[in-house]
Amino acid sequence: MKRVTFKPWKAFIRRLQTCHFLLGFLGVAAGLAVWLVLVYFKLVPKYALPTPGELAQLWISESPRLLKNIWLTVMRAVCGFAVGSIMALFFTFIRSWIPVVNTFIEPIIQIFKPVPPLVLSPFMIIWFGADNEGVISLAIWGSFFLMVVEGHEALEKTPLVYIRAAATLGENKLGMRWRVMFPSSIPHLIGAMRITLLLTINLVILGEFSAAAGGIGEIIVHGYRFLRPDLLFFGVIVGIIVSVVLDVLVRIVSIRLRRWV
Amino acid sequence: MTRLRTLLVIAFSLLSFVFFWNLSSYFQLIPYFPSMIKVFRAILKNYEFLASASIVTTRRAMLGLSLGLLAGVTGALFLAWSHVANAIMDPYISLAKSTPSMALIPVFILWFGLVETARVVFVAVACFFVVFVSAAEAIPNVPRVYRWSASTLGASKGDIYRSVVLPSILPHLFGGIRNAATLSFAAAVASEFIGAQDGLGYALIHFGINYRMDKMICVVAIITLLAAIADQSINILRRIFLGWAKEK
Repeated sequence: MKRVTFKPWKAFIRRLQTCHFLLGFLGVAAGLAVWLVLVYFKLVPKYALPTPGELAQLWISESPRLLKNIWLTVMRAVCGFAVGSIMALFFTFIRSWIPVVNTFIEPIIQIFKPVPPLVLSPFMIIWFGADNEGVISLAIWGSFFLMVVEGHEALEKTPLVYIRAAATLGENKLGMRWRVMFPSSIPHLIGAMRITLLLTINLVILGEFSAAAGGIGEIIVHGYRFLRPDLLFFGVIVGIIVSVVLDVLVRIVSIRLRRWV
Repeated sequence: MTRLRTLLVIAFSLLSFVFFWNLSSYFQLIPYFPSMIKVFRAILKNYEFLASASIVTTRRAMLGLSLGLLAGVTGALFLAWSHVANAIMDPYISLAKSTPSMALIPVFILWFGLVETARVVFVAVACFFVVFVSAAEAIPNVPRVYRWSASTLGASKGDIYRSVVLPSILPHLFGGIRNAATLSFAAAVASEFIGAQDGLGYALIHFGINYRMDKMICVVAIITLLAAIADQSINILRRIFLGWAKEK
């Protein structure tokens, strides 16, 4: 007969394996430790990574200017995203409402859809100037085309049962779109909006690299040009934080919108 | 709507696209906008320059894409294997999900200098994020009932991995690979916007400074074409290897 022995370390390891949150915490701690070791034992050159002290120093000495730049990026991203996606949703609505418009517009969208919006920043700067207008119009372009494609797909995916049931109950064409197809595609639309938001922030930062009109992109470019790792990494970290915060905001709105799901 | 009428509407739409393009260039409704003939002439005139620039960019994009796919697919398979690795990487996955990757271009240029390596590594990292995140999102969606029934039927951990987990995440993984293939060209071009001496991104900036919009439109058309080719070839691969899976 096999003897059962008590092995506390094994029990501990098994306990640890089931504790998802703690393991994630350990992962983050390991990442931070690697950063600190690299910086404080001078394993990387001074220009490659900032120390935590340098980051804090930067924030203390220049926070008003940095905050102004962060605000510029957030404003541009939100403007571009809001205008682009609302235009796209309106457009999708009309497209599905009037079939001739759909047939007419489909080939033109197929021409513009595969153009990666990231490469259009020089065009927008020539057309609209190296300032807010150029960057925001780049963001509008990108979010519009992504949302038009995704929105159309979402509306097409409405279960046929819903449409037939509504038609049996005497729903007219406009009401079908507004009260049946649009609400049923909201989960898909929320997913599309989150992808679009990330693309918009990417576009704004890339536009700011070349437009030189303030914003997180300019913080990053300054850091790279003057070999200031603190500025560079501050910009990258803030870019990530901004995109996380905006994503969380979209999710909060989405919880309200998709209560019925 | 009859088929003939649909065809007519499509033809009318394409014709009006051409018409409005040339109208806006003729009356300069959009600043510096060239007519279509000028764009074609620019392609014919700068044939050699554009070809060499696109070879440079394609090399960067493909090298970066293959490195990124190698790292991404390996990481994804490992994540699917190990529950603990999944838990440890979880915060990093949520970070990678919302990192604006374009912000990282100057970071790699700072680390590696203005050389080929910086751009290739940037493309690789951008592609890696896409593939890795798509796989990480697919892993929790593997139906737990499948795992349970497989283990009830006496499957070992390796069996479950091979016959349950892999087939259910592969379609998602291929979706991620397809997105990465499209992104690789855009990322390569975007990385050439900063301090490059060759490639399509440099060409775009260079022509932009001289307000030669006809040449710029050529460059954008080439980038679009290359990205579409990469996208479609991944799609064909997907049809060959994963014909049984539903389109995602």
